[in-house]
Amino acid sequence: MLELIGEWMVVSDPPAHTRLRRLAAGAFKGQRISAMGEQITALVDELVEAFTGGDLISEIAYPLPATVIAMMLGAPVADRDRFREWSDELALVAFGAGGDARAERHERALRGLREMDAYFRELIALRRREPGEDMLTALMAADGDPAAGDRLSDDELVSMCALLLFAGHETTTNSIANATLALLRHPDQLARLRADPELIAPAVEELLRFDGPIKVLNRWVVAETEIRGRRISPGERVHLVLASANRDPEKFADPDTLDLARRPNPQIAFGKGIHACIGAQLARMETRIAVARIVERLPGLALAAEPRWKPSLASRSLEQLRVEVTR
Amino acid sequence: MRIGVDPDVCEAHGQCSVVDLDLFPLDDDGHSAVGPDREVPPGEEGAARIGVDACPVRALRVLSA
Ligand code: HEM
Repeated sequence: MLELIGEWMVVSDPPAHTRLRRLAAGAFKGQRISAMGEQITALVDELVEAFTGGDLISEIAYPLPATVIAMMLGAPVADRDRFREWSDELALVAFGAGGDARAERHERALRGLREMDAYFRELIALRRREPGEDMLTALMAADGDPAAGDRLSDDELVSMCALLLFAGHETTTNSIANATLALLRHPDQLARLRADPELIAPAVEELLRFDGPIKVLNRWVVAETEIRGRRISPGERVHLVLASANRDPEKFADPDTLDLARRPNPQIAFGKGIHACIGAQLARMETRIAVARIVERLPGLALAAEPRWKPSLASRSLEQLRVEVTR
Repeated sequence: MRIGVDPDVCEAHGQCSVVDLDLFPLDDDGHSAVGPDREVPPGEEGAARIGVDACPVRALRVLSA
């Protein structure tokens, strides 16, 4: 089961990374993602309409991205809830869990992931027999090297599905929740977005810059490097603090000011370079639609309790986001 | 349609490649390998425009429609 995670492209280097990334990139092309706009809007509307106050994370920000991934992979509607559990179990196994309950929780998570593995294998077998319009079908058809007819194997497809769920769920949940919180804390900017809904695209870039879902990435250094007088040697581990880079005063004027119309906005919440988030277009679309609807359809939105951040190094993640709404 | 990248401006954000890796290839460091002047295959103009617009530092340009 751990091989499934060990071979993820996000933790691999070229040439293995180049091959997996190329194979996945075909399935993530712009048109396929843009085509999901209507479905995502319908999902968001359903969640927002049903929301009468309470924890905005458990009611909107958490279920949405898991359902979008299930939908994108062509899973039957009835199975969508299981994706949330698997995503939590993947996080537990990939990051490890602390505390006394550790061994037992880990064991339970592994059992869940074996079930997920079997589920994806069945879905893959089905799509091999009956291709669909979904991303799983596109991933199967993707050709890494047309001359060699290079395709993803079943094991690789299972691993890819798990990576998409792991990388695309919690991040997007936090992007929607953190954006909503930042707007609630900056009523002038919230009012600005309400008055000018067209601002949503630059607004989401700025909200990602201001409080993005991933605080820190890690890398092993492979070449002698000097940065601002500090030497770093091969074999050393470095932490790339995205949250700090996104508030760099040499890059951003008034970096601690939330300015929804900031342009240009070279924020790096999606990382940079060859590992830059492959789901960035999808994540942007989900966050834009969700934040736009939250702002528009929940006019009396207000904090109902002081939210707390989870004590996590890598992710910028709220325990809950309890709000009141008056329609 | 022709597109190009200014290598002095590119900061390897990779956002163009996320739109379409075939139209916007990267080098090993993650910088754009589009080159100064590249022809966009017919029918791909829409994706090319989205990719150019995705550059947060405006390193990419549409050279001719
Ligand atoms: C706002 C939401 C999101 C944020 C902030 C985010 C952020 C990131 C970051 C910073 C990386 C780079 C990791 C590294 O360099 O080590 C990354 C990689 C990745 N993301 Fe996202 N992500 C989001 C949503 C998504 C979604 C929705 C998906 C897919 C459904 C996704 C799939 C991936 C994958 C597969 C990678 C690995 C790419 C590679 O290694 O080449 N992400 N993401």
